[in-house]
Amino acid sequence: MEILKSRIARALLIVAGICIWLYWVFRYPAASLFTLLVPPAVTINFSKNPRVRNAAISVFVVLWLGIFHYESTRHFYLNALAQTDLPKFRFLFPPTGWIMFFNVDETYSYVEVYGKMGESVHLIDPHNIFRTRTFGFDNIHRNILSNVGSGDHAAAFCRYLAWRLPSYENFVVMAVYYPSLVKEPYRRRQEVLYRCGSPHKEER
Amino acid sequence: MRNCWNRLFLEERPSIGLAFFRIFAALTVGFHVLPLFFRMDENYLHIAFKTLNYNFFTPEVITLVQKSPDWLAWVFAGLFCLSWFCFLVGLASQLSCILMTATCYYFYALNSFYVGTLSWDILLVTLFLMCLTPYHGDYFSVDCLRRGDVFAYRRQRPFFIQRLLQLQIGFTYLYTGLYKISAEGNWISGNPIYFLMHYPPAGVTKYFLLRDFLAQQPQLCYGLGIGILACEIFLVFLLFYPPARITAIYLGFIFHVTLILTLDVPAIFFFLFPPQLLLFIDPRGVIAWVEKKRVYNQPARRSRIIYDGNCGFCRRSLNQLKIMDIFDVFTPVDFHGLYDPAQRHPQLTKKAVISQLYLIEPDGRLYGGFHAFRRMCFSLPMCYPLIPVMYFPGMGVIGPWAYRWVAQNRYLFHANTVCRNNACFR
Repeated sequence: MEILKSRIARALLIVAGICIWLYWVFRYPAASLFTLLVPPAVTINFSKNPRVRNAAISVFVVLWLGIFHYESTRHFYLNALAQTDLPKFRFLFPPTGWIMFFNVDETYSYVEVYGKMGESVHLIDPHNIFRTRTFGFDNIHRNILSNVGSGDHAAAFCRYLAWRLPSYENFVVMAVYYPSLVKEPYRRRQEVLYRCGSPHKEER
Repeated sequence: MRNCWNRLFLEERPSIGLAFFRIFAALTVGFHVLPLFFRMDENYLHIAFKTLNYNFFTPEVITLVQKSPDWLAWVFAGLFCLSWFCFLVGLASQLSCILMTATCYYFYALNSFYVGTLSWDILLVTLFLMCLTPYHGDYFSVDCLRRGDVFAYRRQRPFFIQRLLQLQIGFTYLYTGLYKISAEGNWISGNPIYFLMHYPPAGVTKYFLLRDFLAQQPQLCYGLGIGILACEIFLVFLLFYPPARITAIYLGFIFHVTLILTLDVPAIFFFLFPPQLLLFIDPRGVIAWVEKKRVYNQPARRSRIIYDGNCGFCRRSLNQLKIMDIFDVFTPVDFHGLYDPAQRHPQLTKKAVISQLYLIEPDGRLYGGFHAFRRMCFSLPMCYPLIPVMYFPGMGVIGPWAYRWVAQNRYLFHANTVCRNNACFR
């Protein structure tokens, strides 16, 4: 412990610690959010020395603000500036920044699911497909069903439908598209996205 | 520069605002996640329809989580409920916050179909900051009762967490506004509010009172859109400019109430953002107001609680009551120190005060036992959530019975050696 009494030794130890820290940050970029922020966070919690704690707080604040603004602007501004896809910090922040309702045009589309029972075909209420009720809003109105429209999800959704609504023999997943809600509010186009047969026999 | 930095982040201020915000953060998480557990099979078990967020998680994490069997999902659901409740009531608040956030991450990786929204990402950013320190457990929590510090409400902590939460919400508004006018946003070139009013019944717009009227008013809709844009962009500046702060907070409240009344958007915006706006109120001002109230409640204005000072359980409960008594409205009086209890109130006798706790209000009204406790809840902000329980149908019968049982066995709840030798009157 004698070595810690020397200022030069202490400074060298700090520099070495920072080097190891940065090595881990760059060694595992996918977890860099944690490797960057956890060490100052741990120091804030466990340090008894106010100076060390304040230094850790300052490091955390600078890093946090940097990451927050980087992720808020990366997709639409920084990528364009750098003309490349900059890396994203995993495990926090949305992929394209805070884009709530940023682009609302006069078109609209959603997905409908039809079920065939004998000779009759029924439009199935989406609330019967996904029955989870949320508090204060309706997920179905939030157009959550549009996620199943992608062909990538066809197999999984067909399997789910067969389990959820066994009384139907077949299902048709259709896209409904309004080209202009303002000029032609009653004109809608429908298109079959995929069909589900017996379980595991869906077709495009 | 250094002074400015110290004032912004390092200066110690009371953490009461953060403690208050913890309750709303917990409620928001609960409202969002708990409904998903009512349909575990449709949301998280093997048969569920799942979407995976590879943008948020690494493929390794997704693969690992997807391997989890159904029983593990149930275990995590239980863990979430436990940690969520502990976080809500402030029991080991930092640890419970970390555990709760970790379980949120697990369920997000297991299936992002329901929760994968922008508002959920905002909530995770908030929770990430809340995990960092235990400051949010300083008051309005079981932790503060366990610590036994009567002045817990004015405990000083570095201000940086509250400041980062302020910056988070302020800049979220700013970026939301900026994206609407730049990037691919169309709030200047188009008329989004007008388009939203024309959405079909299956769409995101709710049927509210003025919807049909607005659907006929493109100019008004455009003006509203510009107004919303201006609010979002300038709100951060108004919030950080002290003379405009209260106006900005009101504006934010109106904005979120309007949002939940008109659009089917996740209620996180409604439950989290308004309380987060309240973090802009300087906690030193709140404490100054509390201290004023305490001074106002001079001894003459305080209610008296007549209790048994020989009972350790009662003394500990009284100490906890003093912690909860933020406005200093109660004065505990040990009946063993009274020559005649009737001095305090004509209806009080020695036998009566031995049998149960009494509350004498400044105007002379007397409450005993369960009814005294029920009455006290109205003066203790930390007990406000208990008021509906205290007045729940049937509590008028169960409450006094439960109270009597505790009162009769109160000496069994503590380790007072004097009382063990049967020296205490029971």
